[in-house]
Amino acid sequence: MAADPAAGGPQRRAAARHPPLPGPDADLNLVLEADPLSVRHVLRVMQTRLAAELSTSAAGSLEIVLAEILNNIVKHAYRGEGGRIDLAIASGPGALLCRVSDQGRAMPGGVLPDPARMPPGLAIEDLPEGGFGWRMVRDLAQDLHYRRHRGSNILRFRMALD
Amino acid sequence: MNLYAEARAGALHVQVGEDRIDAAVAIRFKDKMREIALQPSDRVVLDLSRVTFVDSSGLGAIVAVMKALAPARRLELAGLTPNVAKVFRLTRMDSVFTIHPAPEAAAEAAAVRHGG
Repeated sequence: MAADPAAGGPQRRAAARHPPLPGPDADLNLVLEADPLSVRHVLRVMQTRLAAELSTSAAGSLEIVLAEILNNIVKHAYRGEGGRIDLAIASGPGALLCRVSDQGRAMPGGVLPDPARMPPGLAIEDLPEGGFGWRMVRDLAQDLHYRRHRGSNILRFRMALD
Repeated sequence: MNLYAEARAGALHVQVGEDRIDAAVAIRFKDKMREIALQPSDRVVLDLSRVTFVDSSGLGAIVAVMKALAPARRLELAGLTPNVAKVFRLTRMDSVFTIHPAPEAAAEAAAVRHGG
Protein backbone atom coordinates (compact mmCIF):
# COMPACT_ATOMS: atom_id res chain seq x y z
CA MET A 1 0.00 0.00 0.00
CA ALA A 2 2.87 2.38 0.84
CA ALA A 3 4.38 1.54 -2.57
CA ASP A 4 1.36 2.88 -4.45
CA PRO A 5 2.79 5.92 -6.27
CA ALA A 6 -0.60 7.55 -6.69
CA ALA A 7 -0.96 7.62 -2.90
CA GLY A 8 2.49 9.20 -2.37
CA GLY A 9 1.39 12.83 -2.06
CA PRO A 10 -1.25 12.54 0.63
CA GLN A 11 0.80 9.95 2.50
CA ARG A 12 3.84 12.22 2.70
CA ARG A 13 1.69 15.02 4.03
CA ALA A 14 0.17 12.63 6.55
CA ALA A 15 3.65 11.49 7.59
CA ALA A 16 4.59 15.04 8.51
CA ARG A 17 1.79 15.21 11.06
CA HIS A 18 1.90 11.65 12.34
CA PRO A 19 4.56 9.11 13.24
CA PRO A 20 5.99 7.25 10.23
CA LEU A 21 3.81 4.40 9.04
CA PRO A 22 5.17 1.04 10.02
CA GLY A 23 5.88 -0.41 6.60
CA PRO A 24 7.34 -3.66 5.33
CA ASP A 25 10.33 -3.32 7.67
CA ALA A 26 8.16 -3.16 10.79
CA ASP A 27 9.22 -5.43 13.66
CA LEU A 28 6.07 -7.40 13.27
CA ASN A 29 3.74 -7.75 10.29
CA LEU A 30 0.75 -10.02 10.70
CA VAL A 31 -2.18 -10.78 8.45
CA LEU A 32 -5.21 -12.37 9.98
CA GLU A 33 -8.70 -13.54 9.14
CA ALA A 34 -11.39 -11.43 10.78
CA ASP A 35 -12.79 -13.93 13.27
CA PRO A 36 -12.55 -14.15 17.08
CA LEU A 37 -10.26 -17.21 17.20
CA SER A 38 -7.79 -15.66 14.73
CA VAL A 39 -7.76 -12.51 16.88
CA ARG A 40 -7.00 -14.65 19.93
CA HIS A 41 -4.19 -16.43 18.07
CA VAL A 42 -2.60 -13.19 16.84
CA LEU A 43 -2.68 -11.69 20.33
CA ARG A 44 -0.79 -14.72 21.64
CA VAL A 45 1.79 -14.53 18.84
CA MET A 46 2.24 -10.83 19.46
CA GLN A 47 2.70 -11.30 23.21
CA THR A 48 5.40 -13.91 22.57
CA ARG A 49 7.20 -11.84 19.95
CA LEU A 50 7.16 -8.56 21.88
CA ALA A 51 7.64 -9.92 25.41
CA ALA A 52 11.32 -8.93 25.52
CA GLU A 53 10.66 -5.29 24.52
CA LEU A 54 7.78 -4.49 26.86
CA SER A 55 7.15 -4.28 30.57
CA THR A 56 4.45 -6.66 31.84
CA SER A 57 2.08 -3.73 32.25
CA ALA A 58 2.75 -2.37 28.73
CA ALA A 59 2.30 -5.83 27.22
CA GLY A 60 -1.03 -6.09 29.06
CA SER A 61 -2.18 -2.69 27.80
CA LEU A 62 -1.18 -3.55 24.24
CA GLU A 63 -3.18 -6.78 24.45
CA ILE A 64 -6.25 -4.91 25.71
CA VAL A 65 -6.03 -2.24 22.98
CA LEU A 66 -5.39 -4.65 20.11
CA ALA A 67 -8.09 -7.06 21.26
CA GLU A 68 -10.66 -4.25 21.25
CA ILE A 69 -9.59 -2.83 17.90
CA LEU A 70 -9.40 -6.23 16.17
CA ASN A 71 -12.66 -7.52 17.62
CA ASN A 72 -14.34 -4.28 16.61
CA ILE A 73 -13.24 -4.89 13.02
CA VAL A 74 -14.50 -8.51 13.17
CA LYS A 75 -17.87 -7.48 14.55
CA HIS A 76 -18.59 -4.09 12.99
CA ALA A 77 -16.37 -3.41 9.94
CA TYR A 78 -16.85 -6.95 8.59
CA ARG A 79 -20.10 -7.68 10.51
CA GLY A 80 -19.02 -11.22 11.34
CA GLU A 81 -18.71 -12.12 7.66
CA GLY A 82 -14.92 -12.35 7.71
CA GLY A 83 -12.26 -10.48 5.78
CA ARG A 84 -8.62 -9.55 5.96
CA ILE A 85 -6.93 -7.56 8.72
CA ASP A 86 -3.34 -6.29 8.50
CA LEU A 87 -1.42 -5.49 11.64
CA ALA A 88 2.00 -3.86 11.72
CA ILE A 89 3.98 -2.99 14.81
CA ALA A 90 7.29 -1.10 14.75
CA SER A 91 9.57 0.18 17.50
CA GLY A 92 9.78 3.92 17.89
CA PRO A 93 11.36 6.14 20.57
CA GLY A 94 9.82 4.99 23.86
CA ALA A 95 6.79 3.55 22.15
CA LEU A 96 5.50 0.98 19.73
CA LEU A 97 3.95 2.36 16.55
CA CYS A 98 0.95 0.33 15.56
CA ARG A 99 -1.07 0.29 12.38
CA VAL A 100 -4.20 -1.77 11.78
CA SER A 101 -6.02 -1.82 8.46
CA ASP A 102 -9.05 -3.56 7.01
CA GLN A 103 -11.33 -3.28 3.98
CA GLY A 104 -14.62 -3.45 5.85
CA ARG A 105 -17.24 -0.80 6.41
CA ALA A 106 -16.09 2.67 7.42
CA MET A 107 -16.45 3.99 10.97
CA PRO A 108 -19.91 5.57 11.28
CA GLY A 109 -19.52 9.30 10.66
CA GLY A 110 -15.87 8.75 9.74
CA VAL A 111 -14.74 9.12 13.36
CA LEU A 112 -13.72 6.78 16.17
CA PRO A 113 -16.28 6.26 18.93
CA ASP A 114 -15.68 8.19 22.14
CA PRO A 115 -18.03 6.66 24.71
CA ALA A 116 -18.53 8.33 28.07
CA ARG A 117 -17.07 6.85 31.23
CA MET A 118 -19.58 4.94 33.32
CA PRO A 119 -21.04 7.34 35.89
CA PRO A 120 -20.61 6.28 39.52
CA GLY A 121 -23.47 4.96 41.64
CA LEU A 122 -25.54 3.21 38.96
CA ALA A 123 -28.09 0.64 40.11
CA ILE A 124 -27.19 -2.92 39.11
CA GLU A 125 -30.03 -3.13 36.57
CA ASP A 126 -28.73 0.03 34.87
CA LEU A 127 -25.12 -1.14 34.48
CA PRO A 128 -23.86 -1.07 30.89
CA GLU A 129 -22.95 -4.40 29.25
CA GLY A 130 -21.03 -2.79 26.40
CA GLY A 131 -19.29 0.38 25.28
CA PHE A 132 -16.17 -0.47 27.29
CA GLY A 133 -13.88 -1.17 24.38
CA TRP A 134 -13.27 2.24 22.84
CA ARG A 135 -13.07 3.87 26.29
CA MET A 136 -10.18 1.56 27.17
CA VAL A 137 -8.52 2.09 23.78
CA ARG A 138 -8.71 5.86 24.23
CA ASP A 139 -7.36 5.61 27.78
CA LEU A 140 -4.42 3.36 26.92
CA ALA A 141 -3.32 4.35 23.40
CA GLN A 142 -1.69 7.64 22.37
CA ASP A 143 -1.94 9.61 19.13
CA LEU A 144 -4.92 7.58 17.97
CA HIS A 145 -5.58 8.45 14.34
CA TYR A 146 -8.21 7.01 11.98
CA ARG A 147 -8.71 7.59 8.33
CA ARG A 148 -10.68 6.04 5.51
CA HIS A 149 -8.55 5.74 2.40
CA ARG A 150 -9.54 4.04 -0.88
CA GLY A 151 -11.89 1.56 0.72
CA SER A 152 -9.60 0.81 3.67
CA ASN A 153 -9.88 1.72 7.32
CA ILE A 154 -6.47 2.69 8.65
CA LEU A 155 -5.94 3.11 12.35
CA ARG A 156 -2.64 4.24 13.80
CA PHE A 157 -1.59 4.75 17.39
CA ARG A 158 1.33 4.57 19.80
CA MET A 159 1.69 2.37 22.85
CA ALA A 160 4.20 3.31 25.55
CA LEU A 161 6.92 0.72 26.24
CA ASP A 162 6.65 0.84 30.03
CA MET B 1 -15.62 -23.14 28.28
CA ASN B 2 -14.74 -25.05 31.46
CA LEU B 3 -16.40 -23.84 34.65
CA TYR B 4 -16.13 -25.83 37.88
CA ALA B 5 -18.85 -25.17 40.46
CA GLU B 6 -18.75 -26.19 44.08
CA ALA B 7 -20.85 -25.22 47.12
CA ARG B 8 -18.65 -23.79 49.88
CA ALA B 9 -20.11 -22.44 53.12
CA GLY B 10 -23.30 -21.13 51.54
CA ALA B 11 -21.57 -19.68 48.50
CA LEU B 12 -21.49 -21.19 45.07
CA HIS B 13 -17.85 -21.07 44.08
CA VAL B 14 -17.25 -21.13 40.33
CA GLN B 15 -13.74 -21.53 39.02
CA VAL B 16 -13.11 -20.51 35.43
CA GLY B 17 -10.83 -23.17 33.97
CA GLU B 18 -9.82 -21.11 30.94
CA ASP B 19 -7.10 -18.51 30.51
CA ARG B 20 -9.34 -16.09 28.60
CA ILE B 21 -12.89 -14.75 28.70
CA ASP B 22 -12.95 -12.97 25.36
CA ALA B 23 -15.14 -12.38 22.30
CA ALA B 24 -14.62 -15.99 21.21
CA VAL B 25 -16.26 -17.43 24.35
CA ALA B 26 -18.27 -14.59 25.96
CA ILE B 27 -21.70 -15.93 24.97
CA ARG B 28 -20.86 -19.50 26.02
CA PHE B 29 -19.54 -18.20 29.33
CA LYS B 30 -22.75 -16.27 29.97
CA ASP B 31 -25.02 -19.21 29.07
CA LYS B 32 -23.03 -21.69 31.16
CA MET B 33 -22.93 -19.35 34.18
CA ARG B 34 -26.72 -18.95 34.03
CA GLU B 35 -27.08 -22.72 33.95
CA ILE B 36 -24.71 -23.22 36.89
CA ALA B 37 -26.42 -20.47 38.87
CA LEU B 38 -29.64 -22.52 38.90
CA GLN B 39 -28.11 -24.21 41.96
CA PRO B 40 -29.39 -22.35 45.02
CA SER B 41 -26.98 -20.22 47.06
CA ASP B 42 -26.91 -16.74 48.60
CA ARG B 43 -23.77 -15.70 46.82
CA VAL B 44 -21.92 -16.71 43.71
CA VAL B 45 -18.15 -16.26 43.78
CA LEU B 46 -16.45 -16.26 40.39
CA ASP B 47 -12.85 -17.35 40.77
CA LEU B 48 -10.80 -15.71 38.00
CA SER B 49 -7.37 -16.73 39.29
CA ARG B 50 -6.61 -18.81 36.18
CA VAL B 51 -7.85 -16.10 33.79
CA THR B 52 -5.10 -13.89 32.37
CA PHE B 53 -7.21 -11.88 29.93
CA VAL B 54 -10.73 -10.47 29.78
CA ASP B 55 -11.79 -8.21 26.89
CA SER B 56 -14.83 -5.92 26.69
CA SER B 57 -17.04 -8.79 25.49
CA GLY B 58 -15.95 -10.93 28.43
CA LEU B 59 -16.50 -8.04 30.82
CA GLY B 60 -19.97 -7.44 29.34
CA ALA B 61 -20.78 -11.13 29.91
CA ILE B 62 -19.66 -10.98 33.56
CA VAL B 63 -21.80 -7.87 34.09
CA ALA B 64 -24.76 -9.60 32.39
CA VAL B 65 -24.43 -12.56 34.78
CA MET B 66 -24.36 -10.17 37.74
CA LYS B 67 -27.53 -8.47 36.49
CA ALA B 68 -29.25 -11.83 35.93
CA LEU B 69 -28.53 -12.87 39.55
CA ALA B 70 -29.70 -9.56 41.07
CA PRO B 71 -31.47 -8.55 43.18
CA ALA B 72 -31.76 -11.81 45.15
CA ARG B 73 -28.15 -12.91 44.77
CA ARG B 74 -24.80 -11.28 44.37
CA LEU B 75 -21.97 -12.10 42.03
CA GLU B 76 -18.59 -11.58 43.69
CA LEU B 77 -15.19 -11.92 42.08
CA ALA B 78 -11.98 -13.42 43.37
CA GLY B 79 -8.35 -13.78 42.29
CA LEU B 80 -8.10 -11.12 39.58
CA THR B 81 -4.77 -11.37 37.75
CA PRO B 82 -3.04 -8.03 36.94
CA ASN B 83 -4.33 -7.43 33.42
CA VAL B 84 -7.86 -8.51 34.33
CA ALA B 85 -7.76 -6.11 37.29
CA LYS B 86 -6.66 -3.37 34.86
CA VAL B 87 -9.77 -3.90 32.70
CA PHE B 88 -12.02 -3.67 35.78
CA ARG B 89 -10.20 -0.52 36.93
CA LEU B 90 -10.30 1.25 33.53
CA THR B 91 -14.03 0.61 33.14
CA ARG B 92 -14.75 1.46 36.79
CA MET B 93 -16.32 -1.95 37.23
CA ASP B 94 -13.99 -2.42 40.22
CA SER B 95 -16.37 -0.08 42.08
CA VAL B 96 -19.40 -2.22 41.22
CA PHE B 97 -18.23 -5.72 42.18
CA THR B 98 -17.09 -7.05 45.52
CA ILE B 99 -13.59 -8.22 44.61
CA HIS B 100 -11.73 -10.61 46.91
CA PRO B 101 -7.96 -10.69 46.58
CA ALA B 102 -7.84 -14.49 46.50
CA PRO B 103 -10.42 -17.27 46.24
CA GLU B 104 -9.49 -18.40 49.77
CA ALA B 105 -10.38 -14.94 51.12
CA ALA B 106 -13.82 -15.20 49.52
CA ALA B 107 -14.35 -18.58 51.18
CA GLU B 108 -13.21 -17.20 54.56
CA ALA B 109 -15.57 -14.22 54.23
CA ALA B 110 -18.38 -16.71 53.66
CA ALA B 111 -17.32 -18.87 56.61
CA VAL B 112 -17.30 -15.84 58.95
CA ARG B 113 -20.70 -14.72 57.70
CA HIS B 114 -22.25 -18.13 58.17
CA GLY B 115 -20.38 -19.04 61.36
CA GLY B 116 -21.56 -15.88 63.18
